[in-house]
Amino acid sequence: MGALFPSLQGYLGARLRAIHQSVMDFESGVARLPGELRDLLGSLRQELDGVLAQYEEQLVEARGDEDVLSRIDTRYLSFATLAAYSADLLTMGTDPDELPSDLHAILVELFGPRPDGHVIVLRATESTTFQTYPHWRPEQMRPGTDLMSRLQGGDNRELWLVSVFDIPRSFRYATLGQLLVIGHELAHAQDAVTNFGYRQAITNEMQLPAESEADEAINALVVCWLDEVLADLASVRRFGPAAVLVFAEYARLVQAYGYEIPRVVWVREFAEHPPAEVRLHFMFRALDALRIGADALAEIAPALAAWKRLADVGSVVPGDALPELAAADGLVRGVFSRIQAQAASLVPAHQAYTEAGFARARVLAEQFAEGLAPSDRIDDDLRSTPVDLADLFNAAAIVRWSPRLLDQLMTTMGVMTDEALSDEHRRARALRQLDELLARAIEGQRLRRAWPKGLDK
Amino acid sequence: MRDADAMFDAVRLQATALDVNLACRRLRLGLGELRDRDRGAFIDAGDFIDRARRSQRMRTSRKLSATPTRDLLALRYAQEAKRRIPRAGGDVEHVLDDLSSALLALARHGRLTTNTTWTLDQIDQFFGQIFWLATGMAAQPTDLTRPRTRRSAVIAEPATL
Repeated sequence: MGALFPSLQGYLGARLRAIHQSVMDFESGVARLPGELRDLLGSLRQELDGVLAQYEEQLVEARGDEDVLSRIDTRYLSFATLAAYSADLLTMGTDPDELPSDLHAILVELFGPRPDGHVIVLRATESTTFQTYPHWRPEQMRPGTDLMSRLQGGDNRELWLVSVFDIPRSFRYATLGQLLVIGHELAHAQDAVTNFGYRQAITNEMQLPAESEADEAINALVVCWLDEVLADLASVRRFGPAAVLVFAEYARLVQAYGYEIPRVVWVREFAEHPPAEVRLHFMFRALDALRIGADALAEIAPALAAWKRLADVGSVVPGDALPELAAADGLVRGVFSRIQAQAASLVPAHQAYTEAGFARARVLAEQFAEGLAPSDRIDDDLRSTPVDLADLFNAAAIVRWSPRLLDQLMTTMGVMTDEALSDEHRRARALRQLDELLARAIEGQRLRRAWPKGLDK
Repeated sequence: MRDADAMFDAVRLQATALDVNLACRRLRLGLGELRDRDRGAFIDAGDFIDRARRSQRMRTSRKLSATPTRDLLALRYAQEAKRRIPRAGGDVEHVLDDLSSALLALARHGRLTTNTTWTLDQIDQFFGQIFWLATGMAAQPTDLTRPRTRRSAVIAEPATL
């Protein structure tokens, strides 16, 4: 096949041109395209332009050798499939209304310093859960040519330089819960950019059990679970009590330990994440490490205590757990201190949440409870105070889990006197309102930060 | 989170294997000095073998590497390819070390040094097998090769090098 039939070359050319065109159509039609994504798409177009010339060059080189010619055709057909996939990945869902316009900027800011060429791609997807994964840059689809640098070991060929965040389309409708997941997903992306350097420091301290038939299953579980626990701890370190409270609500829905669960479900459900109770147990330990005083936490202490009971379920491996799961669980527990140290390295001290931040959050929570987005009060005392994202998350979390403040918000909204509503309806409306206030506060806060100095004086 | 995008890996490996085949052909037929692309192919091939070596070390040391998914994948590819070519003996680690040295020598000097047991034809044949294994993976539907999808890259049977 292949070079013997010129039509295959024609097909490849047409396919690559069609992909090229789809990228250009996207670039010209999109409303909000970050500059770095534009550069990335430019790189993809360059690859598409260059690869056809390389294809023809190799056909000439292998002329007369049908075996090699068939491989050349096959290789470039695969390339076209990958290029199409990459084009879809970088363009589909990257500009829908479901993604808050502010989210990319938030991620960039939280990410901190990044290597050259690193790009964050946000996509709104039909999935109900978040996913983060590293992706190669288009230039890496072909083996590189920077020979001297690579001979001297100076080029890190393993580096992943595109972090893709798949965001559920429902994002806009649960600001607090959804945004907090960002802290977790961000840690995944940060580890990938370091070529899993944070993970490596953990695995260096880990000794796997003696070889057995279940070996591979345990290894696969352990590496996924390490990543997840690392991301959970980083999220708690960055966002404090709010991270624990939001995750606990999710954990209540998916708790597994103590229930009769068929083996097939165990294996499927926990292939990527440890059981939720175990994660919650670790997150409470990370929260303790932040040393936020009991007095500061008083308003949400009952909620924390309630969730702590669920976390305690995850403090030990149940006797009836599958051997692979029990082994993976034991291994991860054994390196908890190292995971915690890596989380501290990933979220350095100046980004870690503090008691002072939580004190700010308590003030902001009172404003939320009055039905105000703090950023709307441009004459308030906070206008010169740096309020970061974590403060706003914690303020909303305080309102959500403080009966006093939630009642106050419902009273402000007038839902308490509406007798047509049940208690559940009232609460649901208040939480919806709280999410909207939080979204407005985040956007407003960032807008205000971008104002020229002195404008609010 | 997984450290491998199986489809991307497969297509890159396919490209590397093909470039190694072309470079070996160039040497065998005496078509001239190796070009940068040829040397780059040997380096990429060496990276791939290094991943397989890391995977093998994982088995013996009982310590996970930083990228176990990708490394294990490389070892599986290597084992699958190796059992199809006529070369017997040697433990896995030794064979991989030897191949890694041979590829580095080709990248640096454009020829094999005397202290390797691999011949140019054997390297060519080995990466010819790798090419088709990678092609099999690259040809799978995209959804099955996404990073978070658990699926073996090679339908593995018990095999040793």
